[in-house]
Amino acid sequence: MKKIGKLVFKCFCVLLPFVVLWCYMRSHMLAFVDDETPYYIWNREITNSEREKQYRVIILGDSVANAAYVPEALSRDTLNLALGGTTPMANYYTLRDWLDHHPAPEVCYISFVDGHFYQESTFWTRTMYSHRFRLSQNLEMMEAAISYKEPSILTEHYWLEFLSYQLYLPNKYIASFMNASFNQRYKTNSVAMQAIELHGGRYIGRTTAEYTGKELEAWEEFRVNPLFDEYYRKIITLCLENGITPRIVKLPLPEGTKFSDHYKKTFEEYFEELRNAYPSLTVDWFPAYPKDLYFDTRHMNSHGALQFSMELKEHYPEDFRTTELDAEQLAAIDDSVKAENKIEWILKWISGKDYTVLFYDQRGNFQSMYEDRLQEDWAVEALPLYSVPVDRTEKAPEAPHIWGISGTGEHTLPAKVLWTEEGLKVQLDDQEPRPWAPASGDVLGLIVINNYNQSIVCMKSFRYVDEAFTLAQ
Amino acid sequence: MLFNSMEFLIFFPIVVLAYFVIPKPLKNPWLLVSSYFFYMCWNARYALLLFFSTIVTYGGGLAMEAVKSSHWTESVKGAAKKLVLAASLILNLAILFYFKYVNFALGLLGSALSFLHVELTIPTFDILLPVGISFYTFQALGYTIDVYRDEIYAERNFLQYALFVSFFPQLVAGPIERSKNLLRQLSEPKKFCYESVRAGLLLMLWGYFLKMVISDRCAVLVNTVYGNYGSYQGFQILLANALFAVQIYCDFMGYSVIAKGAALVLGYRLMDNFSQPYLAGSVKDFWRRWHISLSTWLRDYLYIPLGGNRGSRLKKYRNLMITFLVSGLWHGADIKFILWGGIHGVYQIVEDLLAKPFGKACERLRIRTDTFSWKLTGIVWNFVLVDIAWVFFRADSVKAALEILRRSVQLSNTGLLLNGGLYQLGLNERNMTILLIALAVLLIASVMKERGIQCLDWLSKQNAVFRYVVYWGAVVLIIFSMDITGQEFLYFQF
Repeated sequence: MKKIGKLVFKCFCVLLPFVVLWCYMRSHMLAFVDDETPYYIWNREITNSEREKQYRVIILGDSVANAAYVPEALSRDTLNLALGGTTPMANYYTLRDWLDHHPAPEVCYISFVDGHFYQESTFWTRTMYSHRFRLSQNLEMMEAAISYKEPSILTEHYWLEFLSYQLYLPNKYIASFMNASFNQRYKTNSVAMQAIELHGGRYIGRTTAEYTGKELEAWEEFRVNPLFDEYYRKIITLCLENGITPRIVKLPLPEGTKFSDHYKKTFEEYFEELRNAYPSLTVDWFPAYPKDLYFDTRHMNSHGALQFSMELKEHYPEDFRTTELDAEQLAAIDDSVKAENKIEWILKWISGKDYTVLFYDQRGNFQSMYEDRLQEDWAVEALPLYSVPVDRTEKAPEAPHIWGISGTGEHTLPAKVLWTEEGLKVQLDDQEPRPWAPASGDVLGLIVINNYNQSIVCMKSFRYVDEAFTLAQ
Repeated sequence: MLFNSMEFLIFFPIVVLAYFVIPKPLKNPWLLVSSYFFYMCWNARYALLLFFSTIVTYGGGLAMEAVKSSHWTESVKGAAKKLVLAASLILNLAILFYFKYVNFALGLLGSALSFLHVELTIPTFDILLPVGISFYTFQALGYTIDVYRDEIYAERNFLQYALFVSFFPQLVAGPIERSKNLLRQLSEPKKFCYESVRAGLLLMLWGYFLKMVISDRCAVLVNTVYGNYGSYQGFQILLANALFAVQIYCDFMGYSVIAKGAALVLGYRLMDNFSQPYLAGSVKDFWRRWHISLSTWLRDYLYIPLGGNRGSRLKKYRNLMITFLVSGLWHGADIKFILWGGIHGVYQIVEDLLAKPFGKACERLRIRTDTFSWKLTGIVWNFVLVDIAWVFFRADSVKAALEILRRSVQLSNTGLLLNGGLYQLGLNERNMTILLIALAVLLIASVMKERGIQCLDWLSKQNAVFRYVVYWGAVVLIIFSMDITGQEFLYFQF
């Protein structure tokens, strides 16, 4: 017996690096996982912790939904809980988690790309990997998958896979650990967590990149696996039991995506049956958007998401009543504006919000261009251009012409524009004047000011090339 | 079930714990059940083949034993024994042929007919090759031949015999154990022995190191180059070839060492399957050190019965060629494997033919052959020869192998060695560094063993700090290799 004890002790000693590494992996996930995992961790944390802020609208779905719904553009109390790669199964548990810790929202939007009605694409590599759900929930999912013999989950040796992920074994995490070179990802992942929090759960598609490929999808049949059908119905039932209005939205895909007649028929049949089963259910299929509003064949980029969110808001104004944003959501708008590379989209982001944009027109014809042509092209008719007075010091040469646009459409002037011998400066309230030096030449300088917290969001320069404005470096 | 899988890491401790806890009469049945479970994890139905082979050879052994103790005349006894042996061989080899060689044979037949302009559609069978069939068939046949030769008594205890054929540590990739060694050991179930378990676990650690840290890392580069050999040449191919030699060695030796360690944990001693083959000074020497259990099996049950070294030189070479062609065929149903075996046969014939004149020339030129530099030259030369043969073993076809060899001599890309171009072959700088460290460890261990020092024994005599630094280094490298591992052992396919 003594020798057995000695052997066990020695085995433990030899395996000490393994134990240390395991403890590290168990306790410092953010330090090594890839940049998509924080979004699952955030989702777990927010659904399982109580918050002061009340949300009236929540979004469920997959990555396509996560990319499409912009909480800060929808309303003050919208939260995007959609998780990339997930099916109705995982989303059912997300909703349950949410309801276990928060008051029920009034409305729940549910959107999935068709593939997630018949297969799990990231059950192991994302959902299990990130430990998004509790052991009991994972076990329930496994049991359901087994009972329906779901091939996209029941991979070879699935119980061993389950065990490996559940126990944080290195065979599943060492690749990330090595790629992270020990602790290198902590900062990036912490920043990612903050950004996800800032954008109300929206993580995917926060880019202005446009899809330039020629390949688009063609859908031949709307197919639903029994496992996912069951969970889809469970989500709707759970919503109804908790007084939540479920709204099913089929998100727009890029123009050119094909849906066969058979697809349309099977889609209609399925949702007709669902509407018969749940009469209060609404089902909407939004029409396609141009390709440049997507960053791939399915996911909208920031522009597409903003457009969709604005349209949705018009479609269901009663769901998005609280339009006045809080400080955090304004910060999210700031963040989106900073990332913009097109003037029209900057204007769209600030439209209806308390922002001011100042333009330094070095070319001299911005007013006529804006009012005659661009305002209509950019679909920002409600934002009139107005002239901004410039305070000129005695020694300074003739002042340039500065134009302003207010997000609320009113002629507000939150900043003083100064023209000194040192150049152009902008002063907010009692703050120190800040130099505004757009690139010289045929360039339009632009400043976005957040009037709510009296801050300059960004300064950008746009070059006028081929009758269009392109971001100048 | 792979040794480097999660399943095995759960399976093995359970088997070991239960083995030492349960009463003595249940130990062998427990190991037998565990071994069949181990095999059935891969394909449950094919366990029937294993069972059939066991039944046939067990029955054959008993039948031969019955013949021996009968009152028949010696000549009748001899004939009856031959008949039983032939039946056992035919049944076992027929199964092996069907599952491993039938499609190959039909393909050859088709090619021959097409060559003769005979148009005939030859069907092919959709057959899954049973894992380890070549290993356990040879092991069972070895037993049958031993009984036939009166070298051992037939085993009467069926459970014990079945365990001998299916003993899980060496079931799917050897070593091909001899009845004189393993069957005898199995007659006495073992008690817990601290030293055995400790030594066995350390051997397993070493085996995992060889497989996961070295072999699987080499495999990444080798697969990159061989998977698209048309895009590579010169040093890229030479490196891939050299690393394939290392890969197959560490893969197979890794398996054998884990098998040996696992058996030792249970108290059983399996034979050594390798003895630093790449330190051999000749191809003949290489075959004394490489896959020892197969080469001695072929020597004892094929080469010597064919006549061995007896008779004329021509006969000896014929026997040698037959043995090596069979060895090639044993490795796989493909012309390239036969060619690989043939190349080794030719190497040895040429070596034998040149041995005398070469010795005389050295004597005349007063070249000292006992120096380190001479031995090193021999080792390098032998490695080159063996490595050329490995190209046929690894390439997808003979045509591909010839193209790879042709491209390997186009040495125009010397810059690769300096400009980091080698890191573009699937292994980044970090993995290449780990590989180099691991290869250095392997070289040191090999040289020590060559000098008669058993590394693990030597290590156990060092102070605890040093020991644990080595253990932890191995454990860390194994863990860090988990991101590129999970590949099957190469010899499973045989």
